[in-house]
Amino acid sequence: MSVLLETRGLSVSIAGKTVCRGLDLVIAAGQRWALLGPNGAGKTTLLHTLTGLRPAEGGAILIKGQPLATWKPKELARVLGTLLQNQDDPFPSTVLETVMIGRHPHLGRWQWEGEADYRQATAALAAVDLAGFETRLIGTLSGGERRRVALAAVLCQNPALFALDEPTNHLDLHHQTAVMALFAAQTRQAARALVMVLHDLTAAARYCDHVLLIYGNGATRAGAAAELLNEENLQGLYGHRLHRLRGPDGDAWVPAMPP
Amino acid sequence: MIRPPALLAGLTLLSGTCLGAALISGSVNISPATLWALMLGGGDTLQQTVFFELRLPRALSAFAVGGLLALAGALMQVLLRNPLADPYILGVSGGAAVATLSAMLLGLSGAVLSGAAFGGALFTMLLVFALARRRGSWTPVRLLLTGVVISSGWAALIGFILAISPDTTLRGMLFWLMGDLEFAANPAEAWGVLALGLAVALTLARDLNVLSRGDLQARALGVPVAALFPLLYVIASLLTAAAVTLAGAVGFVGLIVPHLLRLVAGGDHRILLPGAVLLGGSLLTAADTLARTLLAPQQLPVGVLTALLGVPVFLYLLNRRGG
Repeated sequence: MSVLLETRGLSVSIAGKTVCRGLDLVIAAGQRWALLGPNGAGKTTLLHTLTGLRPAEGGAILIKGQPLATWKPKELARVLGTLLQNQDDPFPSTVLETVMIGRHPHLGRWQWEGEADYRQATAALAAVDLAGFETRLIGTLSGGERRRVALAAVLCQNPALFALDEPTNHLDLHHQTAVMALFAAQTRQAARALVMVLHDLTAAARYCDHVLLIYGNGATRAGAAAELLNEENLQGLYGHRLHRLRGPDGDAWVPAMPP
Repeated sequence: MIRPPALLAGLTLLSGTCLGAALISGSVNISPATLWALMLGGGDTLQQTVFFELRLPRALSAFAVGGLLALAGALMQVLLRNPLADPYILGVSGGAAVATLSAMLLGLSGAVLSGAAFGGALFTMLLVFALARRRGSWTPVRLLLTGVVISSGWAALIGFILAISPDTTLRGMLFWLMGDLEFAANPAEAWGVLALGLAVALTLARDLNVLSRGDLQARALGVPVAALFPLLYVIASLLTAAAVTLAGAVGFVGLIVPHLLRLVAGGDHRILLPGAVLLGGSLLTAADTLARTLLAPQQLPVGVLTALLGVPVFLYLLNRRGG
């Protein structure tokens, strides 16, 4: 199995607060990782560091065996697709234009989007259940629809490693499930992997085979989801008691009522 | 949305029409037929003088200034990620105004005023640049705040100069501040800056499409934002400097034209940037033609007309599309 992302002794901190210290992480093709932790633990900060959007404090990050810093930005963007936690659209623009920016790293400076790029963009829109929305203005979409447009953009970026920051934000429960299943299927088909920040433990248990627990004090635990997702670990992570409910589609995690 | 080829063809036609109208309008009668003869070297001496020494340079100046401002505005809006940004928001025109008005106060005129305007604009560009990036990397918000504060400082100095100026020079100063093409005799440099600026901006056009969706998003898609940011700033500032040097602080074009095109044609800068040059040039040429003919022989500052023409058009489009 090919390794897509590897960290060696990675240290990350933000505003004087340590997110992780000496983190060794190996994300191989076919794997799906969930980054779990309480608010402010540094999940987004770590994801940004892994994708080269902010510098690490120490240690090394390798993408496909090559140090992150030595990648040309555009080439890196063909391998690594990042979904940010929030989108910003100060200017009017159509859904198709917005999805099409995912093709940017694949095009030369003077190259225009071709037939194949349009096909990928419309296919990506269809995959997130937005077929027919191509000419709609972004400003007229709901929050959940806007989120799915951003997901479609990452899809048509067609990277080997998806780095998604809370991909199911704003989505209704049907589309949460559909999007999770879609990205899980994407990583099963090809030599791809997925790492995402999640707050939904049930989704993490259902769609991820690995988890990274981020405690917010510099401590982290990485490993197989089946081993690490248990009442004791999660209670320690969130400082909140949880119920594990056995259901027909696997475990569901429900927070306990405060005493 | 209008298809890009149709849009650019339409805007080219509009540009030709506005330039043609500018060339045949005025107190000396030059008909469309004479216009053709003049270009081929015919016509009588009076017509030749009026055409080659007054109308042609003035029309070309108006078009260049409009194009420069619209292009600068489009770039500034992406740079600051703010649809309300205009070419003057970072103080470039304020610096030019203070230098020009000071020169006017000292009784200087002619080429010195252009030199002063360009110098003041460049000085402001460097000052804002230095202050905004003093602590490492700069952000749009920091750049915007620095520019707006510097701009306010210039505005105070402009007020001071106006207050102490004798009445005889006030009129010229006010015309400069509103934008005036009466003394724009040589548009060659402005056209050079416009052509160069548009060429460079077009190589960055798709990067701008991505950058307009935010810094992080652009970097995540492989756009070298750290290098692009200062480049954009310098291009937009130089375009603005060239425009104010030729015509003073013509308002409105740089804010509204790019915005109007975004409403009509979407956010693709490969279309938006050349479109802005054509539409900005057309608007200012049409406005200037009206400015010098409406109350002839009285001339109005062109800035007054750009707003009077542009405001209703913009409001119509804004409401038609529902914002």
